Amino acid sequence: MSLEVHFEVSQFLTREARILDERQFEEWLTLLAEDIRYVAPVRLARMPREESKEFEPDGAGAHFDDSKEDLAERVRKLATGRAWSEVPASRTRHLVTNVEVEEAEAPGTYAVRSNFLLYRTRGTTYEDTFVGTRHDVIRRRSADFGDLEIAARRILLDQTVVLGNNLSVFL
Amino acid sequence: MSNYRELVDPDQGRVSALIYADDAIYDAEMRNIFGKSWLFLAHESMLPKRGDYLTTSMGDDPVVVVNQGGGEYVAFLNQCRHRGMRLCRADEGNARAFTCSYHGWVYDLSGKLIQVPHEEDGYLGALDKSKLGAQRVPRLANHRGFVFGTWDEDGPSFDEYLGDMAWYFDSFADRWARTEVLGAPNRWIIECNWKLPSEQFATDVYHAETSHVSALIAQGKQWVDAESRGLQFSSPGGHGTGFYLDDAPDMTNYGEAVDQYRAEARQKEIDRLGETRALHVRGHNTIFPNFSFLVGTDTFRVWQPRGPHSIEVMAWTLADADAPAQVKDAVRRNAIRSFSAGGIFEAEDGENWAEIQQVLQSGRGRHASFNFTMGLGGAGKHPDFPGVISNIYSEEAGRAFYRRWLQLMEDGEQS
Ligand code: FES
Ligand SMILES: [Fe+2]
Repeated sequence: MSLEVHFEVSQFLTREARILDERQFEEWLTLLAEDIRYVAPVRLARMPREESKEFEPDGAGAHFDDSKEDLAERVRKLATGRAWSEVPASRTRHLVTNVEVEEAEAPGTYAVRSNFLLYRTRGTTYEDTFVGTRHDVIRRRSADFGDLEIAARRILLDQTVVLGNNLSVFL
Repeated sequence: MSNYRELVDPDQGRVSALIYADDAIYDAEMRNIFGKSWLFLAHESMLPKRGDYLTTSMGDDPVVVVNQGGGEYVAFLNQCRHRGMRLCRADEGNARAFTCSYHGWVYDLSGKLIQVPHEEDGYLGALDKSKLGAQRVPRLANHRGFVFGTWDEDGPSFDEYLGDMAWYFDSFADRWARTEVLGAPNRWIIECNWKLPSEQFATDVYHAETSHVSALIAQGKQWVDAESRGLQFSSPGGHGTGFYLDDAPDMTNYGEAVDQYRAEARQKEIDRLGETRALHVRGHNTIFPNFSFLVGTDTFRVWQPRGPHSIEVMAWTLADADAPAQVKDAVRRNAIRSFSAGGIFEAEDGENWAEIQQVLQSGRGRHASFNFTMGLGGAGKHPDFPGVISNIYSEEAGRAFYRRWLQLMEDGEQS
């Protein structure tokens, strides 16, 4: 992996995090491929013999299993100004680190892993911290630097029981 | 001891906020409500094989539910009888026995103590293992694959407990010949008292047009119009449900293929349930005290109490086991997207309940009186629907919920 591609992908994820924290959700949608799958499987505490089943498989328990239209629906909901779980808005900070970039099979496609910490606060004392790993597939749209899109996102949360009143944020 | 009657007056539609925020009342509820009621444990499809187990709770007591083979299920307190170590520490799995990780006592699949290290040289052969099995839930009932349990040795049977609610529950549990739960539950913590969601799912369609307006707009859906008629069922058992008689608003978008399958499946559902029930009894429901479900959205959940100010939600998706994989997948994704921690509907419910609970941290807030007067005096009989029936816009089922609550709390004080 070239330094340049690694830098480009890291910058892309940093920009995405800023866009989310600035609540530019419509702009965020433009970073997503039309065929994106945005999935966060449920995680379970398992005995060692069954550790391979720690995360729910495709088609089973998930916190999110969205298409682009599903995500657009979430954005339309937020845009009404009456999505009370985000009114007044949460203050969020997406911290994205530990970025690893690998060439995927299709040309111009990268398998990208990163860790995230999403801090969210609402009202005066309410706080959530969601931490986990993202497995993204990031695809090149054109030869222009930074012209990338997220073709798939698999979010592996560290919590089995989500410690928050809701997940009305994007991970 | 509290004078509960001063706090809760269902006949006048008045409930003190204190019952949602008081430690002593919460402790009494665990004994008097959760110690006496039938509580949801598992659906058969979660534990298909002998030795399959899951950990859940009854009230705030952790329990293990285990498939014994031959269609038998057992539940026991998740606590070792030696020093109280949590016996089973996984969320689910398959086991041959449960070995305590503190000193190694071994319990079989039914919770019997079968092996103790140093039984001879430590206990001098004097330990009566037969008296030291895990605390077993004395009574279980399997209603169309839904397994409930109660700590109450000699209360009503599950069928008596459900009463007329069985007819409404079966609009969910018996809609298809075989039902299946799609995957592990969504679990999350809401900082609210367990009665807020339980009561809402029994009695409150009223909030939907305000609380969920943003999700309805995003989906391009009209909530029912002013002329829409609906009914609410309430029960002396504290159960409740509300549903529309016109075309019920489906709060999910399934897509064409699935809509077509569902339209075809509808005739079968009518054959099973009758037209009235199959087409109209598709609403919000609570089986007292804390098991709720939504027909149509196909989610069901338990609001597990975690102290007066907190609950853990465990929510699952139910499907027609014989539906094609594509249909099940659409049902699952839609249920999650509407009703889960990340659900575009449910997010607002959690926000409401948590904000209510926050205000109850204040002195005046905690001693306020809440209004439950909607539809007072407006309930009666209906030729087509069993039980006490009122208009859907009513708090009759809420009053019945608190009437049942009061009865159990007072019964508990006497014993
Ligand atoms: S606490 Fe379980 S064996 Fe001692
Ligand atoms: Fe709601």
